[in-house]
Amino acid sequence: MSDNITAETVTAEHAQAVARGVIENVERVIVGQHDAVEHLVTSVLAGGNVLLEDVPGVGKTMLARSLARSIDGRFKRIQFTPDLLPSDVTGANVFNQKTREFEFRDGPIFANVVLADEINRAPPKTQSALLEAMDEGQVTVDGETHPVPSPFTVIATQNSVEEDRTYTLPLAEIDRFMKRLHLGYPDEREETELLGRITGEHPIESLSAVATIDDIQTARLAVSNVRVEDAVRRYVTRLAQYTRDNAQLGVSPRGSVALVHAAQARAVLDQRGYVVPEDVQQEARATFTHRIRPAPNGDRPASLVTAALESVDV
Amino acid sequence: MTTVADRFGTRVPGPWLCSVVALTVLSASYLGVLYRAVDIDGDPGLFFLVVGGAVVVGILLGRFVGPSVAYPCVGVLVAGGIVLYTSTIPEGYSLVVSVDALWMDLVALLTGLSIIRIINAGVWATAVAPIPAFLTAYFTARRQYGRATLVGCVALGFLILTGDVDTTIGLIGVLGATAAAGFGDLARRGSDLSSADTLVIVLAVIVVLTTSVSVVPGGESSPVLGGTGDEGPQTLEGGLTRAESQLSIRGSTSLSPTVRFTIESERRAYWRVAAYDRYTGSGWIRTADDRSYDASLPKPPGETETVRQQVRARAPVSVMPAAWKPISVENRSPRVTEFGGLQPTGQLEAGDSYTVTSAVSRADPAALRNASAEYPDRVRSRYTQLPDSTPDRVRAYTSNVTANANNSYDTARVVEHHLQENWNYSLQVQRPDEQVADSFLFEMDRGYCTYFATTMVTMLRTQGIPARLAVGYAPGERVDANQWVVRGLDSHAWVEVYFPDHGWMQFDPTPADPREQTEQGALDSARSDGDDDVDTNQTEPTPTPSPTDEGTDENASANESPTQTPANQSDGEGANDRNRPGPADGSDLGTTGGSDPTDEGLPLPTPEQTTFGTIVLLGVAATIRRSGAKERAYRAVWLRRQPRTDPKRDVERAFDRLEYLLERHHRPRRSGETRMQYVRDVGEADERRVAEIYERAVYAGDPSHVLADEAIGIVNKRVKKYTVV
Repeated sequence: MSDNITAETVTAEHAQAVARGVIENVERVIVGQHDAVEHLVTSVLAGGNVLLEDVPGVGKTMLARSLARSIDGRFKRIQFTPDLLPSDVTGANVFNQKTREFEFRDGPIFANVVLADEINRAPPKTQSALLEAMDEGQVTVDGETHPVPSPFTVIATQNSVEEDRTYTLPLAEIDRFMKRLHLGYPDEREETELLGRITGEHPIESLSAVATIDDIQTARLAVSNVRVEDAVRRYVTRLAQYTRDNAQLGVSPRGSVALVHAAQARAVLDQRGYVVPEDVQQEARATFTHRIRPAPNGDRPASLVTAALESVDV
Repeated sequence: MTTVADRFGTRVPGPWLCSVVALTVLSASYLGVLYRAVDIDGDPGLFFLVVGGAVVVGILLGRFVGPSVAYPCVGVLVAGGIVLYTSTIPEGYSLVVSVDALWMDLVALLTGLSIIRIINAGVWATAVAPIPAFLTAYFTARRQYGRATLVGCVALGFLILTGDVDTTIGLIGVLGATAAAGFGDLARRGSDLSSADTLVIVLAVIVVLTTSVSVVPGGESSPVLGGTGDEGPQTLEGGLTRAESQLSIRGSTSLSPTVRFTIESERRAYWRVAAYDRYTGSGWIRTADDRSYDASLPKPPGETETVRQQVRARAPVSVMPAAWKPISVENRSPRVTEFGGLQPTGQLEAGDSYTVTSAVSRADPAALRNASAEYPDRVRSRYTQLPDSTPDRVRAYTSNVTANANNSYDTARVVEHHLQENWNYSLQVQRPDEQVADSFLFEMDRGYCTYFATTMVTMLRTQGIPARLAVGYAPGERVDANQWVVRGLDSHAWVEVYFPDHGWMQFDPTPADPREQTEQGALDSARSDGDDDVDTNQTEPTPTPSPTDEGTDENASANESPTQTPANQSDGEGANDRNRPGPADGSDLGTTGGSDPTDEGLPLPTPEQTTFGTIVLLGVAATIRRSGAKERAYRAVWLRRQPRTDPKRDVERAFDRLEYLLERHHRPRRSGETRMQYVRDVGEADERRVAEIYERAVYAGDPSHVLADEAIGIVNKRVKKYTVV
């Protein structure tokens, strides 16, 4: 057993180094969003997809791009518009005049990091094209299944303004995102620093990858090996149960799973081979809030999660 | 909060059952009192039948029928009771007169007439008992506990007013009533027993206050459970003092050697004060009424000799002793009891005197031996009464002792002699609770006059010989040819046996010599203490107090013959004209002698004491539970002592202890706050280490003995630091 722990510890150390490296790298571009950056990186390590939601211009896309550039993998960006078709996302079979055969041409989804910008501007049919890839790591076109690369992470952004010109994401789709993050405006000091950085060459242009695909894969393995004891599992269950008891639609079991995975990644970030309740608490807001549909006149989801954290015994 | 039910793990009967039990206790308290009357003078079988029937009918009506039938039933019970009672009243009163008499009786009862003094006490009790029993059963069956309790309270309250309920029974009844109402209320609200601790505390407080606090100073208000034996400075006095208060002796016949009377009489005699006819097993009742003296009293049958006595009170007294049997009184107009006892209408002051003429029987043993055994019905029913609960062995024993006697006189003589010879005289006895005569015969080897006389009357009555208890004064110290000095310590109890054509003859089963010696001892010690009330001019003690001794010895020998005992006559009054004779007067006092520390070993607690003690303990337990003292005590031990099990649990418990400490000195851990966050917030470095170990042990699945030891070590140190005063 102690050998095991030692081995795990070594892997966790490595994974932490990778994660810290990526976070540090991203923060060379992104100012003052430490929490969001950490969440983003832990999502990637935990194999989850992230929804960034905020008003335009706070750096959602920049964050996603920075992350993508920090990892030595393929990065694609899809700008969602109302006329975007599913095949624009997944790719399509096209007729090759030379070989007189149809052959599959990859869509932008075949990348390690996919930035789905303004996802809520595309109609649901196109949005749903993302679903299979996000959920199962593959896309099916004309009956043929094509696996997406691994690791695969979707970072979607959406505006929370101009709601009349958007298609609200269905709850089933939202549930497939591990986390939803808000960035928020930087404070005065941060914004001043941000303005300083953009003079001259934009820092993102000079950003280089700090982690290979292998690094990410190893780190993911380490994360999945992080120990989750019964007490922690029960704590997660009780939190989920609390939201179910107090909202019209509470957190699904998929949400609980997401929270455990996120907490595992969080434990790795602290170089720990086991999850403690604090990890769960740090991840609960990001993983739970978007999955809750509040009761009419009930608490807003954010307050509900806060209430759950405050009232459920650890 | 764990409830009683949780603690016992199973379903505990609800409050309704407790209420029913309490109602049963309440009912038993007053039915017990009524039963006592039936036991003394009545038919217990009929009583149980009637009461049991009333309870069963009440339950049935309550469960299955309802008020439309139940209330008429009460009317039937009342009417039936009246008919039953009036039909047995002697001398054939008409119904109208009887109804009138019923009201009179009721008023008399409510103002303190003991029900045992009612002429047909047993019948009366049998007539009354089913009504509250029926109503209680009926309301209980309808789950109307409040009304059921009210009925019980009224019944008990009535008997308290008549003075038949002693403090113990009253306390039990009140406890039953309180518990019945309380539990009934809980049952009505649908609560469970866990909310009964307030009620239990109230019950305990009732017991504690009743048994420890006397609101009314002195007198009857002595606490129920207080040690009776450790009160007076002298053991004898302890019993006497109590007896006095019970008899409400009007200052005349305390144990003190103080001179009460000087009597000038041509003959020495037992100076009789009163007699009692009804034996209750633990005492005596006089059922007779008294009336005004009108010029003369009936002369006894048979050959008599007239004796004039001039009695001068030497201290304030309210009795008028006289030789049996007084036939006329001069200078005074006393009340006269049916038994020929005299009682002054007011208190006699020192120096007051009266003259009484008595007709003393001259019947000799031969005449008495030949006396008829045909007793008048009234005499037989009244003077052969015994409580139904009197054990049969008394009868068997007496029959055995008197096997050779073939007439009443010989029987009486044999019994008298048997008691004199085989039992010792002592003022220090442990009073039996019930069945004084039976206890004296079979369990005791000593006693004083009241025990002897009570036992003799009981024995004679088992043989169908009419007998009664007489109280008064022994002849006293003879200071002149026909002058006697009577002191408080001369008070005495003896036996009167009825002989047709001769009247009541006196017998004294008390061994004379020891009694005289005891009295003389008391007198001597009083003299040596310098009391100046103990002597008259004539009795100034000479260096050798022989005259007194001789006098009393004579008295003793004189007792041998009943014809001599009836003595001179002058004026007399009933010393103890009280319902309860108890210790008649003076030196050998009555049946209620205090418990004296002569018994061996620890006395076993009585059932009452056990019950009260249990209630008090329950109350203490409930108080502890409410106050949380138990939890605190448990915590204190829990905090300091950690038994080792496996490392994980050790660490968990170590942290729990630490958390308890921190809670007490900082703030409790909020829900939703992890242990680490909490300790980071309020704890110190050492304590954070414990939290780390906790997380490792619990969340990393890595409990090790080393870490457990470390955590426990740290916590032990913190405990010492925090809890050192």
